[in-house]
Amino acid sequence: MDYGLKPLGRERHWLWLMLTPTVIGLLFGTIGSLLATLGLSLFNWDLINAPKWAGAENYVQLFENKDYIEAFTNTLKFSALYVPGVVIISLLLAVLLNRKIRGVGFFRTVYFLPTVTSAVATALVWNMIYGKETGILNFALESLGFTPICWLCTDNAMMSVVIVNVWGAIGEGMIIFLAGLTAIPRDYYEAASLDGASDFQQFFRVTLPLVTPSIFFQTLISAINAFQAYDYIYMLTRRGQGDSSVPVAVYSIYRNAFHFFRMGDASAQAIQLAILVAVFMAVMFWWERRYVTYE
Amino acid sequence: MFDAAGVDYPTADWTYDDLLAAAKTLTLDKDNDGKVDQYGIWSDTWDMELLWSEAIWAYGGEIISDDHAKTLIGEGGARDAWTFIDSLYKEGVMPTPTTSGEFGFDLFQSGMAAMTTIGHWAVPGYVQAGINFDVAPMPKGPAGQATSVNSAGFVISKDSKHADAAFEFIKFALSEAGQKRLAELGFAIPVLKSVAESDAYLKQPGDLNQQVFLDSVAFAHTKPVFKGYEEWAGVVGDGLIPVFDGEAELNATLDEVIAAADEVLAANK
Repeated sequence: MDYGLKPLGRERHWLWLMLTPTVIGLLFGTIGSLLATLGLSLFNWDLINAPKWAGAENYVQLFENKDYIEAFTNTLKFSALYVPGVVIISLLLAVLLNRKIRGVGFFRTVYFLPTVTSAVATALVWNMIYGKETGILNFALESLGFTPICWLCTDNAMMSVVIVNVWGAIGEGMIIFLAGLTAIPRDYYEAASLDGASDFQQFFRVTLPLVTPSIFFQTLISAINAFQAYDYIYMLTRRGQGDSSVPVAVYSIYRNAFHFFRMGDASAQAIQLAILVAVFMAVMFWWERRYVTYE
Repeated sequence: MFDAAGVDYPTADWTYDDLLAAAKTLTLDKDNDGKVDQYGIWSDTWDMELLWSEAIWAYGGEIISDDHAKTLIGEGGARDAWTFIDSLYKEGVMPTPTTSGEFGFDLFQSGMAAMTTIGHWAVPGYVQAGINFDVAPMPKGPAGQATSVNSAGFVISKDSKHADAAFEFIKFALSEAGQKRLAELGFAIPVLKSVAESDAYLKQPGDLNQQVFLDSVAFAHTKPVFKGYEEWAGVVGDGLIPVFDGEAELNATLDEVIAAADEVLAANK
């Protein structure tokens, strides 16, 4: 009998049957909505009246609309703070939790909790933590003799939002890095310490090069998440009329589509964001070929 | 709260300065921890119809030009109105937008503010919450008294498949019987004079001076409605939040906001 991985002729239709759910999801969910967005971006449509042909008009708007330019710049700023934050903190955390310490399972669970908790619920809690009058963060600051900070006022909102988003993401990053770290053979460290390498040197000369695949993967995932960041930002920075003190690209897409009913503008913005993510991924894969060490 | 602080109840002759003076006396730090426990007044300033449109009219300003092409909230008396509103925040008698967000926005309903300026729609909620309150007309400004009115309407879409049935419903809603039912729900003021002046409206739960709302129509302005309102209101209402949070200067921000608001108007022509 043939035990190979290739399906036999008669089994081939089973193969396709089993793949159908995924294929349908991809076709309609991912590729379908991408094409629909691409199509919509060429029209002006308010969901009620018939769409009107707009040509490149909605794309020209990307470079003229001040609000969108601000949102796009915010997304870039946010990503520049968020991605290194997540990668560095979750790597350090994973290194700390990769040792034989008491209660390591407890700490791993605690750091992973935000990942499996609803962002809306935790954002509400963060709202209370950040509260100007009643928040515990300001209570702590005041007890230590510092002046309280208005964490969610316009000036500080970006920083506060980055902190929450990083906090929400380090659990997932930690798991990725822990997997990478456990894959490093113990004898490398043994050999290094025999050669007189300090803990510090071991981290930079042994650990870091060997977790580059994880760093690469985590940077990619974090960047994609950063470009799509929305839930915490919506919950923490939304203002009375629906604007935000830190409007990011996805916020602008949502607002144009479902507040102002300008599907064309929103679609063009979504396409631009998708292109940005694609370009970033291309750069990352080029970087991978040059710098990532696979054993 | 008024009795405890020894402040006279608001009258129909109050000016905005009287409002500020009363709010100052009513703002209290009861436990002396340096934080306000009771504000003199709470209101939202992100939407025009709670306070700022009324104040602008009372100070002799306008909201928008008749052709809806120009935002007028920075001209003449309007700027004085903004200065007044800013002073409510600066004097600490009204919680900043960020602070009021922390307390779930309606500080009047939660018993943390002694006064509010709000529309009739809030009445059923306040009555249900068991607040001991009454209503007074909006204060007078240098250019007289002003309040805002707008209609809660029924609409039939031009493409509706059931236009006739919808029309029948609207006929009922506008009839005396329909208006009575709506009055009993308590949110809006009946449009039929006969119902507005009947017990169905005047004797609602809460035992309030409902007549104030009817008399206010005499000096009411209609809230402006125009294409692109949603976006314009966002630019103006949310754009001024940094000022009221104490992070930006009023006049410069107002100029920026007006320029941005006019751009929205131009784009929605």
